[in-house]
Amino acid sequence: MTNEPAKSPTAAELEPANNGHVSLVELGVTLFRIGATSFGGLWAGTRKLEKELVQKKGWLTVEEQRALMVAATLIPAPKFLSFGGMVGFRLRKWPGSIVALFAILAPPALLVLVGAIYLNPQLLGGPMPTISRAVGVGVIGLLFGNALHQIRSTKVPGKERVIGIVLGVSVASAAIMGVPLIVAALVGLILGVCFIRRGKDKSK
Amino acid sequence: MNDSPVGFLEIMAVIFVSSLFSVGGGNGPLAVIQDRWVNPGLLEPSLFAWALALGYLSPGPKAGFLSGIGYYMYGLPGALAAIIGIILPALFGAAAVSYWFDRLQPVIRRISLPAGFVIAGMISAAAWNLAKPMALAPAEILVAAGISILIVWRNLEPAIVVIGAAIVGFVWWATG
Repeated sequence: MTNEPAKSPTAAELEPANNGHVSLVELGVTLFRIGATSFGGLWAGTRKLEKELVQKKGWLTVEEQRALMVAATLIPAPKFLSFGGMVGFRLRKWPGSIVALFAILAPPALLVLVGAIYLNPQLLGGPMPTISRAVGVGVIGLLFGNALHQIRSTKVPGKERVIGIVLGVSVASAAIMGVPLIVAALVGLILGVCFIRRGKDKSK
Repeated sequence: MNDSPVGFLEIMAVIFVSSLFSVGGGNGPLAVIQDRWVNPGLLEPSLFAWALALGYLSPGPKAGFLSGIGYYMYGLPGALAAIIGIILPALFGAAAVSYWFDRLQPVIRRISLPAGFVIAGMISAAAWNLAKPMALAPAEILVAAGISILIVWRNLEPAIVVIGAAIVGFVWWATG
């Protein structure tokens, strides 16, 4: 897993390595393949992305890929999607970005849709309620694990870390007690910007 | 589908807004969906968990689970609405960041630091609200806690957790 921040040229300063003749079909097929064969999210897929986009297609340099992956974390959307959108935008502007986004999201979206249609746990009897409950317990563990990971991967100095944890607990408590989540989160973000100013996000 | 109190535009709008809480890599839609649709009883908690589980089992972006959520809310048009809702912010964000990467970086860097903690709170609230109606037994709470620890310290693959949980559930049913 590559978590090192890109110190070489930024996305804005770089030009794609070989984007002169990229067709939308080729772009779509490539991003679809990436979406269908990458597991574990953007960071876990780093080597796969490098193999497809840098080595096989020559659409990006390694430095470009790293810069775009860093930039993807700055966009308020899922990182993997944002990365795909930026790759498409750099290669073919708006049409490229649209094709790339639909292509990279299509494999998981279609698989989930098929599962939702044909494996609806409410419509099936037998083991499904038990399996669904067990999966629910697993997902709850995953969610709390992801929350802990968020806190753990945000590196800020001691005092501000304590403030951040208090902030997170406050947001969770407020939401659980009935405060609209969006309100709680926005207030939390505003307070956080005021009180948490030093440090770095390890995930970048 | 036609009886659903939630329509195409609302699904698209809620997913669009929820993605604003994905900055820094968090899964903002989870918490917002929980708040807007699961808690008011518009979406069954078991279906929410099921769509999420299917998403974890699938390759590619985890946002794929939204197609299942959209389907449960409003059929196939709902699935399409959810997909469009999550793609739009990525589309505009990708274009904006490509144009303004250097200028926006300091501002978003300031937001991304507290965002990690805020998103952690949002995800915790979602987990709590998912767990509450299930009335977990002590053993199940211990299992969930163990999974959380493994996720954080051993970087456990989510698909393994979901597949493993499904297998355990099946064995539990078969032997019970």
